[in-house]
Amino acid sequence: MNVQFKKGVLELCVLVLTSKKDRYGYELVEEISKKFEISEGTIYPLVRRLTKEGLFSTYLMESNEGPPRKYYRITEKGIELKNELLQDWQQFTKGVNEMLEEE
Amino acid sequence: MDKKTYLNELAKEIKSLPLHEQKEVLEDYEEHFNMAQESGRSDEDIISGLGSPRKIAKELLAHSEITRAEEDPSLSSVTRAVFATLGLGLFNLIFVLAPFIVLILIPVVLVIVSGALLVSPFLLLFQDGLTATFLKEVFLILGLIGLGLLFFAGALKASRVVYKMTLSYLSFNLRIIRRKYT
Repeated sequence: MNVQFKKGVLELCVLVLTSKKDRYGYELVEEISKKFEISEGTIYPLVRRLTKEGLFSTYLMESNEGPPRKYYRITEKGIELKNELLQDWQQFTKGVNEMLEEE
Repeated sequence: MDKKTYLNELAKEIKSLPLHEQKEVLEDYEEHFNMAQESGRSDEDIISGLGSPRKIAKELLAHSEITRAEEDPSLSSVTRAVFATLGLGLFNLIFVLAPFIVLILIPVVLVIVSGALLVSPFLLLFQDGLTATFLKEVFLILGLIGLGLLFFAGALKASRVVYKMTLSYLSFNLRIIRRKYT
Protein backbone atom coordinates (compact mmCIF):
# COMPACT_ATOMS: atom_id res chain seq x y z
CA MET A 1 0.00 0.00 0.00
CA ASN A 2 1.10 3.56 -0.69
CA VAL A 3 3.13 4.85 2.26
CA GLN A 4 1.36 8.16 2.58
CA PHE A 5 -2.05 6.64 2.19
CA LYS A 6 -1.36 4.03 4.84
CA LYS A 7 -0.02 6.68 7.20
CA GLY A 8 -3.21 8.68 6.94
CA VAL A 9 -5.33 5.60 7.52
CA LEU A 10 -3.30 4.57 10.55
CA GLU A 11 -3.73 8.03 12.00
CA LEU A 12 -7.47 7.75 11.60
CA CYS A 13 -7.49 4.27 13.20
CA VAL A 14 -5.52 5.45 16.21
CA LEU A 15 -7.80 8.46 16.66
CA VAL A 16 -10.96 6.36 16.35
CA LEU A 17 -9.71 3.72 18.80
CA THR A 18 -8.75 6.30 21.43
CA SER A 19 -12.01 8.19 21.01
CA LYS A 20 -13.84 5.09 22.30
CA LYS A 21 -11.72 4.80 25.44
CA ASP A 22 -8.22 5.59 26.70
CA ARG A 23 -5.69 3.16 25.31
CA TYR A 24 -2.15 2.08 26.03
CA GLY A 25 0.38 1.70 23.24
CA TYR A 26 0.39 -2.06 22.92
CA GLU A 27 -3.39 -2.14 22.92
CA LEU A 28 -3.42 0.14 19.86
CA VAL A 29 -0.88 -2.07 18.12
CA GLU A 30 -2.91 -5.19 18.91
CA GLU A 31 -6.27 -3.75 17.87
CA ILE A 32 -4.96 -2.57 14.53
CA SER A 33 -2.90 -5.71 13.87
CA LYS A 34 -6.07 -7.74 14.32
CA LYS A 35 -7.60 -6.05 11.30
CA PHE A 36 -4.71 -5.63 8.90
CA GLU A 37 -0.99 -6.05 8.70
CA ILE A 38 1.13 -3.19 10.00
CA SER A 39 4.72 -2.70 10.96
CA GLU A 40 4.12 -2.56 14.71
CA GLY A 41 7.06 -0.26 15.33
CA THR A 42 5.49 2.61 13.40
CA ILE A 43 2.55 3.05 15.75
CA TYR A 44 4.72 4.50 18.53
CA PRO A 45 6.29 7.31 16.49
CA LEU A 46 2.82 8.10 15.15
CA VAL A 47 1.23 8.30 18.58
CA ARG A 48 4.20 10.31 19.80
CA ARG A 49 3.74 12.85 17.07
CA LEU A 50 0.00 13.11 17.70
CA THR A 51 0.70 13.63 21.39
CA LYS A 52 3.20 16.38 20.61
CA GLU A 53 0.64 18.05 18.40
CA GLY A 54 -1.76 18.11 21.31
CA LEU A 55 -4.20 15.51 20.01
CA PHE A 56 -3.57 13.17 22.94
CA SER A 57 -2.67 13.61 26.56
CA THR A 58 -0.87 10.81 28.39
CA TYR A 59 -0.85 9.40 31.89
CA LEU A 60 0.64 6.40 33.64
CA MET A 61 -1.60 3.88 35.32
CA GLU A 62 -0.73 0.82 37.38
CA SER A 63 -1.70 -2.50 35.90
CA ASN A 64 -2.36 -5.81 37.62
CA GLU A 65 0.42 -7.44 35.69
CA GLY A 66 3.82 -5.82 35.61
CA PRO A 67 4.89 -2.16 35.56
CA PRO A 68 2.56 0.83 34.96
CA ARG A 69 1.34 1.48 31.43
CA LYS A 70 1.27 4.70 29.51
CA TYR A 71 -2.27 5.57 28.49
CA TYR A 72 -3.31 7.92 25.72
CA ARG A 73 -6.42 10.06 26.08
CA ILE A 74 -7.82 11.95 23.10
CA THR A 75 -8.18 15.74 23.51
CA GLU A 76 -10.81 18.12 22.10
CA LYS A 77 -8.42 18.93 19.29
CA GLY A 78 -7.96 15.22 18.65
CA ILE A 79 -11.69 14.68 18.39
CA GLU A 80 -11.99 17.53 15.93
CA LEU A 81 -9.29 16.04 13.72
CA LYS A 82 -10.86 12.60 14.02
CA ASN A 83 -14.19 13.92 12.75
CA GLU A 84 -12.49 15.71 9.90
CA LEU A 85 -10.50 12.64 8.83
CA LEU A 86 -13.54 10.43 9.25
CA GLN A 87 -15.51 12.62 6.86
CA ASP A 88 -12.68 12.48 4.32
CA TRP A 89 -12.51 8.75 4.67
CA GLN A 90 -16.25 8.21 4.24
CA GLN A 91 -16.33 10.43 1.20
CA PHE A 92 -13.36 8.58 -0.24
CA THR A 93 -14.70 5.05 0.32
CA LYS A 94 -18.15 6.09 -0.91
CA GLY A 95 -16.57 7.29 -4.15
CA VAL A 96 -14.54 4.13 -4.59
CA ASN A 97 -17.51 1.89 -3.84
CA GLU A 98 -19.70 3.72 -6.30
CA MET A 99 -17.06 3.27 -8.96
CA LEU A 100 -16.87 -0.45 -8.20
CA GLU A 101 -20.64 -0.85 -8.41
CA GLU A 102 -20.79 0.90 -11.74
CA GLU A 103 -18.75 -1.90 -13.29
CA MET B 1 18.69 -10.53 18.24
CA ASP B 2 16.98 -10.26 21.60
CA LYS B 3 15.18 -7.48 23.43
CA LYS B 4 18.33 -6.04 24.96
CA THR B 5 20.26 -5.83 21.70
CA TYR B 6 17.26 -4.35 19.93
CA LEU B 7 16.78 -1.62 22.52
CA ASN B 8 20.51 -0.90 22.58
CA GLU B 9 20.54 -0.52 18.85
CA LEU B 10 17.52 1.75 18.94
CA ALA B 11 19.20 3.82 21.67
CA LYS B 12 22.24 4.25 19.44
CA GLU B 13 20.13 5.31 16.46
CA ILE B 14 18.27 8.03 18.34
CA LYS B 15 21.28 9.60 20.04
CA SER B 16 20.63 12.93 18.33
CA LEU B 17 17.19 13.36 19.91
CA PRO B 18 16.90 15.44 23.11
CA LEU B 19 17.71 13.31 26.16
CA HIS B 20 14.21 13.24 27.65
CA GLU B 21 12.82 12.12 24.31
CA GLN B 22 15.35 9.33 24.02
CA LYS B 23 14.24 8.12 27.41
CA GLU B 24 10.55 8.26 26.53
CA VAL B 25 11.03 6.44 23.25
CA LEU B 26 12.99 3.64 24.89
CA GLU B 27 10.36 3.35 27.58
CA ASP B 28 7.65 3.01 24.93
CA TYR B 29 9.45 0.16 23.21
CA GLU B 30 10.40 -1.47 26.47
CA GLU B 31 6.72 -1.44 27.41
CA HIS B 32 5.92 -2.94 24.03
CA PHE B 33 8.37 -5.78 24.64
CA ASN B 34 7.06 -6.42 28.14
CA MET B 35 3.45 -6.56 27.07
CA ALA B 36 4.14 -8.67 24.01
CA GLN B 37 6.16 -11.09 26.12
CA GLU B 38 3.28 -11.32 28.57
CA SER B 39 0.99 -12.38 25.77
CA GLY B 40 3.41 -15.20 25.06
CA ARG B 41 5.31 -13.90 22.06
CA SER B 42 8.98 -14.66 21.59
CA ASP B 43 11.57 -11.87 21.30
CA GLU B 44 12.18 -12.89 17.73
CA ASP B 45 8.53 -12.59 16.83
CA ILE B 46 8.24 -9.21 18.56
CA ILE B 47 11.30 -7.87 16.78
CA SER B 48 10.16 -8.96 13.36
CA GLY B 49 6.85 -7.23 14.06
CA LEU B 50 8.52 -4.00 15.09
CA GLY B 51 10.77 -3.61 12.08
CA SER B 52 14.34 -2.40 12.18
CA PRO B 53 15.48 0.12 14.83
CA ARG B 54 16.94 2.24 12.04
CA LYS B 55 13.58 2.62 10.34
CA ILE B 56 11.91 3.64 13.57
CA ALA B 57 14.73 6.07 14.33
CA LYS B 58 14.50 7.67 10.89
CA GLU B 59 10.86 8.40 11.44
CA LEU B 60 11.42 9.84 14.91
CA LEU B 61 14.38 11.94 13.80
CA ALA B 62 12.49 13.40 10.86
CA HIS B 63 9.67 14.53 13.15
CA SER B 64 12.10 15.99 15.59
CA GLU B 65 13.94 17.92 12.86
CA ILE B 66 10.69 19.25 11.43
CA THR B 67 9.55 20.49 14.81
CA ARG B 68 12.91 22.13 15.43
CA ALA B 69 12.87 23.80 12.02
CA GLU B 70 9.38 25.13 12.59
CA GLU B 71 10.26 26.53 15.97
CA ASP B 72 13.52 28.07 14.81
CA PRO B 73 13.74 28.34 11.02
CA SER B 74 17.37 28.83 10.05
CA LEU B 75 19.15 27.59 6.95
CA SER B 76 20.77 24.72 8.82
CA SER B 77 17.70 23.60 10.77
CA VAL B 78 15.43 23.72 7.72
CA THR B 79 17.99 21.93 5.54
CA ARG B 80 18.37 19.22 8.14
CA ALA B 81 14.62 18.78 8.33
CA VAL B 82 14.26 18.55 4.57
CA PHE B 83 17.01 15.98 4.30
CA ALA B 84 15.71 13.95 7.23
CA THR B 85 12.35 13.79 5.50
CA LEU B 86 13.97 12.85 2.21
CA GLY B 87 15.30 9.82 4.03
CA LEU B 88 11.74 8.62 4.48
CA GLY B 89 11.21 8.50 0.73
CA LEU B 90 8.31 10.90 0.85
CA PHE B 91 9.89 13.55 -1.26
CA ASN B 92 12.00 13.68 -4.35
CA LEU B 93 15.54 14.91 -3.91
CA ILE B 94 15.64 16.63 -7.29
CA PHE B 95 12.86 19.07 -6.39
CA VAL B 96 14.74 20.27 -3.40
CA LEU B 97 18.22 20.18 -4.81
CA ALA B 98 17.94 21.59 -8.34
CA PRO B 99 16.75 25.14 -7.56
CA PHE B 100 19.01 25.15 -4.54
CA ILE B 101 22.11 24.49 -6.65
CA VAL B 102 21.17 27.18 -9.17
CA LEU B 103 20.65 29.67 -6.38
CA ILE B 104 23.90 28.86 -4.67
CA LEU B 105 25.83 29.22 -7.94
CA ILE B 106 25.07 32.93 -8.28
CA PRO B 107 27.15 34.17 -5.32
CA VAL B 108 29.79 31.52 -5.97
CA VAL B 109 30.33 32.78 -9.52
CA LEU B 110 30.41 36.39 -8.34
CA VAL B 111 33.03 35.58 -5.73
CA ILE B 112 35.20 33.78 -8.30
CA VAL B 113 34.97 36.69 -10.74
CA SER B 114 35.82 39.23 -8.08
CA GLY B 115 38.69 37.09 -6.84
CA ALA B 116 40.13 36.86 -10.35
CA LEU B 117 39.85 40.61 -10.85
CA LEU B 118 41.47 41.42 -7.54
CA VAL B 119 44.33 39.03 -8.06
CA SER B 120 45.02 39.84 -11.72
CA PRO B 121 47.34 42.86 -11.18
CA PHE B 122 49.44 40.87 -8.75
CA LEU B 123 49.67 37.99 -11.14
CA LEU B 124 50.85 40.39 -13.83
CA LEU B 125 53.42 41.81 -11.46
CA PHE B 126 54.55 38.35 -10.54
CA GLN B 127 54.80 37.30 -14.15
CA ASP B 128 56.58 40.27 -15.68
CA GLY B 129 58.13 42.02 -12.73
CA LEU B 130 57.85 45.77 -12.32
CA THR B 131 58.02 46.87 -15.96
CA ALA B 132 57.22 50.07 -17.74
CA THR B 133 54.01 48.57 -19.12
CA PHE B 134 52.88 47.77 -15.62
CA LEU B 135 53.36 51.37 -14.53
CA LYS B 136 51.74 52.69 -17.67
CA GLU B 137 48.66 50.59 -17.11
CA VAL B 138 48.33 51.53 -13.48
CA PHE B 139 44.91 53.13 -14.01
CA LEU B 140 43.62 50.08 -15.80
CA ILE B 141 44.91 48.01 -12.91
CA LEU B 142 43.27 50.22 -10.32
CA GLY B 143 40.11 49.96 -12.38
CA LEU B 144 40.30 46.17 -12.32
CA ILE B 145 40.72 46.18 -8.56
CA GLY B 146 37.81 48.55 -8.20
CA LEU B 147 35.66 46.32 -10.37
CA GLY B 148 36.76 43.33 -8.31
CA LEU B 149 35.65 45.07 -5.15
CA LEU B 150 32.31 45.91 -6.73
CA PHE B 151 31.80 42.30 -7.70
CA PHE B 152 32.72 41.27 -4.21
CA ALA B 153 30.14 43.62 -2.73
CA GLY B 154 27.67 42.23 -5.23
CA ALA B 155 28.51 38.69 -4.15
CA LEU B 156 27.91 39.58 -0.50
CA LYS B 157 24.57 41.12 -1.34
CA ALA B 158 23.64 38.20 -3.59
CA SER B 159 24.52 35.65 -0.98
CA ARG B 160 22.27 37.39 1.53
CA VAL B 161 19.43 37.33 -0.98
CA VAL B 162 20.16 33.71 -1.85
CA TYR B 163 20.21 32.81 1.82
CA LYS B 164 16.75 34.30 2.27
CA MET B 165 15.38 32.70 -0.88
CA THR B 166 16.81 29.30 -0.04
CA LEU B 167 15.39 29.46 3.42
CA SER B 168 11.93 30.32 2.19
CA TYR B 169 12.13 27.72 -0.59
CA LEU B 170 13.12 24.97 1.81
CA SER B 171 10.46 26.05 4.30
CA PHE B 172 7.97 25.85 1.48
CA ASN B 173 9.10 22.29 0.74
CA LEU B 174 8.81 21.47 4.37
CA ARG B 175 5.23 22.71 4.51
CA ILE B 176 4.35 20.50 1.55
CA ILE B 177 6.00 17.50 3.14
CA ARG B 178 4.29 18.23 6.41
CA ARG B 179 0.89 18.42 4.82
CA LYS B 180 1.48 15.18 2.96
CA TYR B 181 2.85 13.61 6.01
CA THR B 182 0.26 14.39 8.61
